Amino acid sequence: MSLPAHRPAGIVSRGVAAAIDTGIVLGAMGGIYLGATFVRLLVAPQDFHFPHTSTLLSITMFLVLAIAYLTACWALSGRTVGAVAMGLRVVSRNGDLVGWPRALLRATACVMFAAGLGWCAIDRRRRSVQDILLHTAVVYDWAPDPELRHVHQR
Amino acid sequence: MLPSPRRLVLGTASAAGTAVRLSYGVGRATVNGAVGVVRVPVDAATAAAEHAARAVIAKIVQVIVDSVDITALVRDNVDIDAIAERIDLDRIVNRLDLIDLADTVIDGVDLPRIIRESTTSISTEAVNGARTQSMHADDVVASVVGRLLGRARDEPIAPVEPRPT
Repeated sequence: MSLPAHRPAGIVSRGVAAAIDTGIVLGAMGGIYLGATFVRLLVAPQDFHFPHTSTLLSITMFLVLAIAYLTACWALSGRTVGAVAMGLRVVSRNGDLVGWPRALLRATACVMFAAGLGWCAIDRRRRSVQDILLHTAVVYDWAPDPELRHVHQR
Repeated sequence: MLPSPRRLVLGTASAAGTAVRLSYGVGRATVNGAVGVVRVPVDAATAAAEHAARAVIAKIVQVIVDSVDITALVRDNVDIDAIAERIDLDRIVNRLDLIDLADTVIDGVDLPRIIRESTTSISTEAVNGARTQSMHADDVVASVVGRLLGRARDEPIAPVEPRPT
């Protein structure tokens, strides 16, 4: 099967990838909660009770984890787990990987304003609001393509 | 004085008997001595003759075997099916260590590698299928939105290519 050209991805692929990434972050939060529970069980087994979950703390933790996860994945390889599954990659307009500052800004913008993704269904060049603001693109890229990272690090 | 014929005959017979007896004794002694001398050469000759005979027989058998197609001979004249029907396969199988045989076969086949490759192939096809479907869905959504917004059909979207190095 021939690999697709690096043309911009549409709303369906990006939405599925975002849903997968959301699941990844929620799973990580669940893992942290279970870890905290086990630690409490080990430290004070006689006085054990499940940790109380605060809505504000949970939302804050979700936002922080999501931003950290997206920033690291986009800066290091341009691909999150969802992007790997759907064959996508976040790149700059010239095709290179985005740097850490822009990855952080894009992650923050995507997490805080997720609805901006919907604009890629309307935009002629399939750009989300974050793509327009930060001059990035999400392209179909099924191959691991280490060349991108090599170009970025030079 | 001339001897009488009777005494002459008796004397001659006696002398002849003595000569025969002496000849027998001398001959017997001679033969006994001769046998002691030639016994070893006779045994060696016998062994050599046997060796030669064996070599000749082996050569003859080899020539016969070479000149005859035994496989065709057996195939044409032996009822192999009848022999096979009389073979007790259960008895043969019972003598085999099937577990050890299976382990040897599995070790030789490298079953984990086959399972790993087939699993990888199946998962890769599934992932590529999902990606292809999502790409088609992207195109369908773009087409519907473009039609709603009155855009020109089949307007190509420029790909994003890496910067030339």
